[in-house]
Amino acid sequence: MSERAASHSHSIQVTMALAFSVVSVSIIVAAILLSYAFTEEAARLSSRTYTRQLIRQIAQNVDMYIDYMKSISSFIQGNQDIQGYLSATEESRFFSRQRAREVLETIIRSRKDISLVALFDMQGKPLFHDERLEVNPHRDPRRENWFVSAMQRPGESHISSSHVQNILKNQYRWVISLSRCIVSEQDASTLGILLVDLNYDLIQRICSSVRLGKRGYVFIIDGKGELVYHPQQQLIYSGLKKENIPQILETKSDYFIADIPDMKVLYSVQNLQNVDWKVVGVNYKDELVENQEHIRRTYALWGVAFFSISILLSIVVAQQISRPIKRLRNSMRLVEQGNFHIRSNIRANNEIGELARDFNLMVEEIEKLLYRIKEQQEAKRKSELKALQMQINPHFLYNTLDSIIWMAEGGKQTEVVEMSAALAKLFRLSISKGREIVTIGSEVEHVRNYLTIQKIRYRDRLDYRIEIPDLLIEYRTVKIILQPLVENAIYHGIKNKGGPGLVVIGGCLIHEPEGSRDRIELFVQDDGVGMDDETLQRLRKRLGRVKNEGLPSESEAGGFSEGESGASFSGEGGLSRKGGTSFGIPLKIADNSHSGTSHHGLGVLNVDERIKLYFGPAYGLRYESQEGKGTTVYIDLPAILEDIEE
Amino acid sequence: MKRRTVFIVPAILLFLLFTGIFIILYFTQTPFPQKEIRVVAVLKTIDTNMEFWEVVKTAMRMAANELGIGLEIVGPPDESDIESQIRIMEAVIQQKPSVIILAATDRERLVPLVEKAHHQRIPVITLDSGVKSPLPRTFVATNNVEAARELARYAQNHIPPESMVAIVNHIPGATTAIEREQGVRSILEKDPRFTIIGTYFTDNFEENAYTIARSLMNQYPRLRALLAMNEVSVIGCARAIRDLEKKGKVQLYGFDNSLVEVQFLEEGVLNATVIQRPFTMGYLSVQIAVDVLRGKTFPSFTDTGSVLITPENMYYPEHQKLLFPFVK
Repeated sequence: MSERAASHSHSIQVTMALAFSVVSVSIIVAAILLSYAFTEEAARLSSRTYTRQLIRQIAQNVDMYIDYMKSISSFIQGNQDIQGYLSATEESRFFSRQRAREVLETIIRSRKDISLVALFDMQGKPLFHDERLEVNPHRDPRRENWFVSAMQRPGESHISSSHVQNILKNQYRWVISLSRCIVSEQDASTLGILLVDLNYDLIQRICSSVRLGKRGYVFIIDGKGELVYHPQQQLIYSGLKKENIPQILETKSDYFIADIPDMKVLYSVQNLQNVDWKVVGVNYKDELVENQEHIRRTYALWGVAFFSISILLSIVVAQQISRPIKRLRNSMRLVEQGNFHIRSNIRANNEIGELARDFNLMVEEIEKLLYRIKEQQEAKRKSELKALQMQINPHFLYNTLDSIIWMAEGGKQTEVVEMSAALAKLFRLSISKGREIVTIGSEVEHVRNYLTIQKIRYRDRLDYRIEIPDLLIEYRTVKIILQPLVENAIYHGIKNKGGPGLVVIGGCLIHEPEGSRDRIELFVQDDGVGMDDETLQRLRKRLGRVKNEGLPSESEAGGFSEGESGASFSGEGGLSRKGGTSFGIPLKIADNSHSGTSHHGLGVLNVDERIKLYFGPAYGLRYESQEGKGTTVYIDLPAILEDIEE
Repeated sequence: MKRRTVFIVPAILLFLLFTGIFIILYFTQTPFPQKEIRVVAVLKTIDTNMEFWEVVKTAMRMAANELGIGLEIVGPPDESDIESQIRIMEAVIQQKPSVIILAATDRERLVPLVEKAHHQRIPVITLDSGVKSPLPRTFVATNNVEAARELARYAQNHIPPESMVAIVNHIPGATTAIEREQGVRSILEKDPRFTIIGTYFTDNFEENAYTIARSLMNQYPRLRALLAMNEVSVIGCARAIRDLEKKGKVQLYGFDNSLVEVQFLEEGVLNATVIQRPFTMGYLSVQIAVDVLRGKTFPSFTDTGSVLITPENMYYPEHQKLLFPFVK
C-alpha cells in the first residue's frame, strides 16, 4: 500500500519536472538556435560586405593595370615615330626604327610590370623594346591568336587571357597580352600590330594576396569563361576541381551560392570595367562566419548551462508544488491509520491551501463525530451497567428479606433488628446519591453491612475480617466492587467448603515511581475451595479479554445474563439442599441467583469492567487461587483523592 | 496504467538527453577536437631544380593548406641517393607522423622501412615510384602502360605505312622503362604496317641516345620513327634528327616535359610527347593520405593520368599550365 502511494507521488513530481524540462528545454533550444542563426546571419552579412570590398579592390587593381596597358596602346597609336616607322618601307626604316624602339623602351622602363612591348608590321616583322630580343624562329606572329584578334577589329585593344608568350626565342613567360591594330593617322589603313605583355605574375600576386577565410580564394575568368587566373588551374583542367563557370556567366547577382556538387561555396563576382573579365571570390560556406567554432562552442556551452539550470529549476519547482501535496497526503495517511488529531499546517493561498483547509475541516468533523459516537457508546454502556446493578440488587434484597421473615417467624428479634438495620444501611450506601464514584471508606462500610447480613445468615460457617488501613478510606473508587467479590467468595469459596470459612478484606497504598500515579491495592481473600488451574486460567482469560478489548460486545454481555438466568434454575436444587443442611434457612432463590455452572459470576466481570471503564485498562481485578486453599482477588485502583467526573 | 508510466519516464529522459547531445553536436560539429594530422612526404629528391618534384611539392602544399593539415616534405638531395633516403625514412618513422607519402628511390631496398612503418601503425602511400610490397595503402602514379599506349596509338596514325620504328629506352629493368615499352609494343606489334627493329638502351645518358639515334638512322634508311621512353632519350634523339636534318623524315615520339622538349615540339622535331600530371599527383597523394586516416580504402593503384602533347595542342589553355607550370 505504501509502495503504491510512493510510486504515485513519484510520478506526480517527476511528471511535473519532466513537463517543465521538456517545455523549457524546447524553448532554450529554439532560442539558442534562433539567436545563433541571427548571430551567424549578422556575421555572414559582414563577411559578405567584407568579401565584396576585397573583390572590388582586386577588380580595381587589375582594372588599373589593364587601363594602363590601354593608355600605352593609345599613346603608341598616336605616336608620330611609331606611325613613321610602320608607314616606312623596309629599306627606309633604319632611322625610324631606332626612334620607334626608343619610344617602346621608354614605356617599358617606366613600368616593371610590363615585360614586353613589341610592334609587328603586316608581314610579321617584329620590333622589340630591346634589341637583343629575338623572335622565336618556329612561331609566325601572324598566326598567333593576339595578332588575329587585333586584326579583326582595327583600332581596338584586345586583351588576351593569361598565356605563355612564345613569340620570343628561349623565353616562355606567363603574360596577359594587349594587342592592337595600329592604323594610319592619315588614311586609317592598318599599319601593324602592337603587343604589350603584362606580367601574369602581377595578377597572381594581386589575387593570391587575398585570403578569404582559411581556404577561400580569388579567380578571374574572361568573357568566354576561360580561366585567366585560378590558384588551382591544374586541378580544374585535370577535373579534380570544379568551378561552375556557366553559372557565373549567367547569373546577374554578384553574390550567390555556387551550384557545385560536394562543395559548399559562395561566389562573389565583380566585373572589370576595362575588359570583359570577372573577378570571382570564393568563400567556403563553413568559413563565412569568423571563428565560427568559437561562437558555436560558446553557444553550446550556454545551451548546456541553460539546459542544466532549467532542468534543475524544473525539479525544484516541481518539488515546491508537490511538497504540500505530499504533506497533505502524509496527513491523510495518518488519518487513515486512525489519528484524527492530525491537522495539516499548510498555509498557502492557493488551491492546495484551500484543499488543506478543507481537509482540516473534514478531519475535525470526523473527529467530533467519532467522539460523539464514543461518548454515546460509553453512556449507553454505563446505563447498561447501572441497569445490571439494579438487576443484582433485587436478588439480594429478596434473599435477605426472606431470611428476615424466617428469623421473625423463629422469634429471633434482635437478629431481625440487626439484619434489617444492616440492610437499610447497605441500601443507603449503595444508592450513594446516585454517584458512581465513592470513597473507599464508604465502600468498606457497604461491604461491612453486607457481611453483617451474611454473618447472621451463615453464623459460624462464616467469619470475616476487614483490615483496610485508615489512610485508604479517603481514596476514590468505583462503588460496589467489594461486595460482589465478597459475595463470590462466600458462595463459591466458603459455601462449598465443608467447614467454616474466613473472608479477609484488606488493602494498601503502593507508591509508584515519580511520574506515575500511585496505586491502591485492595484484596478479598477467602479460605474456601479455591479454583483448579483450568478454571483460574479461564477466569484470568476472561478478565484479560475485557481488559484487551475494552468494552465487551453486546452479545457477550447478553450471553452472560442469559447463562446466568439459565443457571439459576438448573442449580436450584443443589444449592437449596446445601443451604438447608448447613443453616437451616432456606436460601433457595438467593442462592440460585449466585450459583451456576459458571464459577466466576457475572458480578466479578462486572466489577472488573467498571473499574476499567472509569480508570482505564491498567486497573481491574487479579485472581490468585489454589485449589483447596482459597482464592484472593486483588483490586488495582489508581490512588485518587479528588472528585472525578463520572 | 502503472506500467505505462514506467516506460514514459525513461523515454522522456532519453528524449531530453538526445536533445542535449543534438545541440552540442550541432554547435560543435565534432564533439572531440580532432588530433592534428601530420603528413610527411619522403620524396625522391628535394632538389629545387627538378621541376617535376617542384610541381609535386607545390600541389602537396596547396592540398595540405586546403585540408588544414600539417605537411612536411623531406627527401635526399639526389634521386640516386638511396642510402640517404633510407636514413631519412628511418628518422621520419621515429617522429611517428600520421601518414607517410613515399616516392621510393628503390623498389626493393625501401621495403623493410615500409614494413617498419606498418608495424608502428603508420599508413604509407607510395607516390610516382612504388615499392615491392603490398603494404602501401595505394600507389599514386601515372599509369605508364596506358600513357605509352596513348602515345603509340597517336604514332600509329601519323607514321607512314611500311615503316621501321625503333624504341630508345633508358635503363633495362627500370619500372618506367619496362612499362612504357610494354605499352608501346602492345599497340605497334599488332600493327602489320610497322616493324619494330628493336629496343636500345641509353643508360640514361643523352650522348648515348644521340649516338644510338644517329647510327640507327644511318643504318636503316626505312626507319621512319623513333620512340624515346624518357626525357634524356628524347633530347638525344631530337638532337640527332636535327643534326642529320631528318626532321619530317624520321618522326620522334617521346615522354616527359622540359623546356628543351617544348622547343623541339615547336620546331617540329618532336612529334608528340606524353606528359604526366605532377600537380595532380602531389595534390591527390595528400588528399588520399587524409582520406586513409579517415578510414577510406583505396585500390592498390591510383592513376593520375597523362596528357598527349603535340605541336598543335601544346598552347591550348589547359596544356600551357602543364608544360609551363611556373610563372616566370
